[in-house]
Amino acid sequence: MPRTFLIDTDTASDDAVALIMALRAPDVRVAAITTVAGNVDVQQATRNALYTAELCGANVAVYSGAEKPLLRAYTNATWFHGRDGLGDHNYPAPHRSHETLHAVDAIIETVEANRGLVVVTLGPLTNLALALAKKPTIAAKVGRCVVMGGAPCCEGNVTPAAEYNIWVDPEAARVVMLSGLPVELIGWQLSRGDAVLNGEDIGQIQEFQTPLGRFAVECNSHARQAYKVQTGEDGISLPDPIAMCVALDPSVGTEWSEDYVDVETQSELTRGMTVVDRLNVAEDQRNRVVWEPVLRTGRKSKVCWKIDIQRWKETLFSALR
Amino acid sequence: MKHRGVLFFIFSFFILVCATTGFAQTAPKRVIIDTDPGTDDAMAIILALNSPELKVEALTVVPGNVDGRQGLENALRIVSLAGRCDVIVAGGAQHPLNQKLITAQFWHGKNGIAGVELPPTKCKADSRFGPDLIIEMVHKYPREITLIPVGPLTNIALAVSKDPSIVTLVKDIVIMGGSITGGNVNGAAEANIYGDPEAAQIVFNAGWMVTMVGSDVGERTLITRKYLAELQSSHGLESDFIAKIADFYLTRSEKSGYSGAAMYDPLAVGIVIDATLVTLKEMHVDVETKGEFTRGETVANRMGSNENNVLHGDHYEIDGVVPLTPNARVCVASDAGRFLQLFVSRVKGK
Repeated sequence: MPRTFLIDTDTASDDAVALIMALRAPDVRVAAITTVAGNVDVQQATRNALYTAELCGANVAVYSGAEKPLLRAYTNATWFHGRDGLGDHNYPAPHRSHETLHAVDAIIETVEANRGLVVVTLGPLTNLALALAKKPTIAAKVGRCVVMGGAPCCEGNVTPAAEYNIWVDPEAARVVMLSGLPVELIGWQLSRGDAVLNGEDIGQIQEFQTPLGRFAVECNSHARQAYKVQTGEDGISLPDPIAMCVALDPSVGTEWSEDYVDVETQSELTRGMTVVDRLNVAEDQRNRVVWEPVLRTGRKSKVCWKIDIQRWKETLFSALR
Repeated sequence: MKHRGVLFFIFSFFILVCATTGFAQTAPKRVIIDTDPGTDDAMAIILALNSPELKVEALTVVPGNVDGRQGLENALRIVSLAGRCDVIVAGGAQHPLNQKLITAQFWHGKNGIAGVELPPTKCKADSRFGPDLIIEMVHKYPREITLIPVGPLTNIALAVSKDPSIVTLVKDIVIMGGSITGGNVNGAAEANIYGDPEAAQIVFNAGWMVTMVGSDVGERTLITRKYLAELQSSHGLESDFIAKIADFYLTRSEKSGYSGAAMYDPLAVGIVIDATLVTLKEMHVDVETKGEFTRGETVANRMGSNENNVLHGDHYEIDGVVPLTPNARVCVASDAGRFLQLFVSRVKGK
């Protein structure tokens, strides 16, 4: 029995690689891809998802979703991924189009039809928040909810406090974190340092001489430059594929903790910060009132702190080979 | 030939006169009331159902005064009492977006409708999700639907987040909520906005022109013992129900030092029936979602502009003003007497 995945994505360059990994995984059936405004607008994200699925020869249904964050002004990340999100290489339009059903309803239907579904979110959490508002009961039916997002206990990629996916729609992220979903948080910091594809890794992928390998490197060309400017690190940083890698094989995450997590929505300085109760003090008398919404869920999130770099890269290579 | 020509002329003239003098206006307005019933919600619903100017297409229920389950039950019992099972009643969100639900049995009685036990409903709840129903109806009747949200704005925010195209497709949106002169929850906030500030901010900034009936105007539109006596002077299923509710609500308000009970929700319905009942002023309104003392306040800009402060070294200097586009027609005064006469006569109507 293959495992069933639903992937919610603001499909840009690293999302595309993550989609390839899921669509190529032999024991995974991707029941639905839902798209959301984020890195690029939702129409572009939908085109990119369809194009990537086509490259994989996958006939997966793609559902288009929210056009903007719940209440914040929409800010894209085309400065990082390129105007089309895929490094501006003029990829052709996909042959298929998206389904008519709204992504929010697709999420609800897919969860209800697939008990124990693995939900992987690679973008802002707007769609998932809207689905939870419509059907709060889906939270208890999801097997795992792997979230690429947040910057637990470290700097983010948009502000010193926050990572883009959470920052761009913090209210939606908060809905998700307080929903009771079994969240596994794969923060941005995991895709830095040694996890970055270095020149040698990229060379190895190019040696595969596969269309998917070429595409994975090429569509990240813009992101590679932007990442250098942003962090000073050279190479291709792939947050979404790392989240997907952990979704495919949780043991790639080698260090985990279970903590209460909340999302900051009230402050501008720390907007979208994923606040992790590392020392287990949320239940202390002085913290109880502020942390009550999280405590009430009775659900701690699994926060990943370290991954097996070698296995992450091997998993990626085998998807592109 | 000549005769037919004259007839044709008269007929054409008749059509023209009808079209220009408001024949079209006499076609009832299609409305959807999004409600957390609620004593004054019940009054608003009965007012709407008994007004020929309106065609109530649906009631969508939102948690607020009572939780969503109780609210749905109340809505179903109210339409059943009115013999109006033709009105669609649908549940909606189960809780506010980010805010924890705050119910108001203190003001509305244990079941939200003054503890009045209405007969079990003969009507059935529609299975559609309230926000989806709103989206569907607005597309079905483009530029015909007036939304009248009289509870927290959760359902409307969900509808507009899922389908922003409804913004240009509604005829109007008339909200009971907010205040531009202090709140009824605390110094700053009115209950419907306070109940889901994030949803309210979404709705006020969705791009449509919101008509805002605030608590400050509701509190100057009071039902008093005089009007209650008028309601009690004749009997009917609906007027007896409304009289009981009004009595409870009035007693509660008197105990809190008011001379009457604020007709918050009914006034919102009232101005859809007759816009001349109030004075509207265009403003830009934002909803504060962050303040310790001001969360849920509707911050209205009455000048139509903001100062533009430009950084000069270590300080800012005012560099003229930036005009603001109004996003709300804010109700600043009401003709309370005329509204209450309308309300009483409509409730007694049948």
